[in-house]
Amino acid sequence: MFEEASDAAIVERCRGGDLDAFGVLIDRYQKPIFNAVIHKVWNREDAREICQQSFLKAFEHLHSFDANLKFFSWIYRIAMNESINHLQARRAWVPLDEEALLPASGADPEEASMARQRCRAVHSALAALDEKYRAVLVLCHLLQLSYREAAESLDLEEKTVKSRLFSARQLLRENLEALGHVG
Amino acid sequence: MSVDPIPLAPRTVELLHRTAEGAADAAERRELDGLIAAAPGLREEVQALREAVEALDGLPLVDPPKGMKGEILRELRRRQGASATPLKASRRNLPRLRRWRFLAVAAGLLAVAASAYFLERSRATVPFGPEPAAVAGTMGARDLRSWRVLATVPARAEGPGLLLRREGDRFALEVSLPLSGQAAPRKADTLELVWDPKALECVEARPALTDLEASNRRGALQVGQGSEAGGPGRTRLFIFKRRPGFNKPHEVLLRSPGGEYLRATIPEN
Repeated sequence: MFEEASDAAIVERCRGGDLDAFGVLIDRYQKPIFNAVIHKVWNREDAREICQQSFLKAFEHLHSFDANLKFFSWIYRIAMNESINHLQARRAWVPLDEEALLPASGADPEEASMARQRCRAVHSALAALDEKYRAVLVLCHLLQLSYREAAESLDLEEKTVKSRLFSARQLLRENLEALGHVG
Repeated sequence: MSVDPIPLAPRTVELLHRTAEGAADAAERRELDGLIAAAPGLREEVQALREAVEALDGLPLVDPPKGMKGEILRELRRRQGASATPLKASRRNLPRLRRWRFLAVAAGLLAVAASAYFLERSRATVPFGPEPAAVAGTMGARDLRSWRVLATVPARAEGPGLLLRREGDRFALEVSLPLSGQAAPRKADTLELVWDPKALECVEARPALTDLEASNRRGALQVGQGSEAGGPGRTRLFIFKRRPGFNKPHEVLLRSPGGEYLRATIPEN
């Protein structure tokens, strides 16, 4: 019923307490939000908890949603704030949950093994980056957002996103090289 | 590890990235070809960036846990049973007087927070992480800050665990680890830094070690125990120098009896 509707139209329905409509927003955005969060907290269970909290919080505060923003940008900011709060509260080292981030084993074991190795390397290099660089790489590459969409999500100017992305790629490449994976 | 290049013009940087991501049009490719003809090193830059872009684009999206949507909706239904629809915009509904009081308190808190922040910033000597001066002794923070950061290997989500910097033929390794958590070193665990003594020499340690010579013979030194190894202000600093004739990448491992903790690769020149 709502599948084709715009986010703004669905938000209006949700504001009236329509949970089915909110379910459509969850369907649309749970995957990108989960991926953004897991690349910040590096743990699947933590990411699940943070995503749930973020969607619950979003629903409860829909009246403060600024219709000039895309729904993704708004819930992304909520999820990042939730992640920061979570990390600050945790104050303990939880090891990188690498298995949760690796692709499932494919039909060709050798190819699958190589793909997993590549993923491990990129995750190590990503994890070593400063958060501000990692965020643009996750948004622009992993989630395939445009510069404009990434800028809105990060509350930055488009040109800042662009220059940060360029630096981030350079740093990632250096990290991969330092870790012995390219070059 | 590439040597720091001469800073490139912004237009060149843009062309390099547009080419690496496959977005450059014919005119831009021609423009870049002209630049490469004048500075052939740029070709390597494009290739290196292309590798980074391909590595990133090859990362798969992770599927969210099954049932997450159902759990969220169940929780919302439970809450709806108690209180119904989303919260109204509560600030708009505050009576005028309460709103002013709210704003005054918020402004006061903001002023206090801003003062604390700027006071803290004025003390800071490095852009992030623990202050090296606290551990670097004669090597002041200003000196170390000018060293180029090669890699940070975080203790996972909690910030840098190993920070590797370089200045000429010297490499500075800062070690910091969290004090608690399921994977943090236990209090009784002795943490060791291990390397190939034929390839690298540890020339300085802060706090100073009395047995640096013996450590260099073994290629291992004791960093400390789990209870005292890390945390802000408890960083340890080690300066390494490559032995003559050894130019291959070498790894320095931080390990405990439970196994390897973290590793940093000292790259070739």
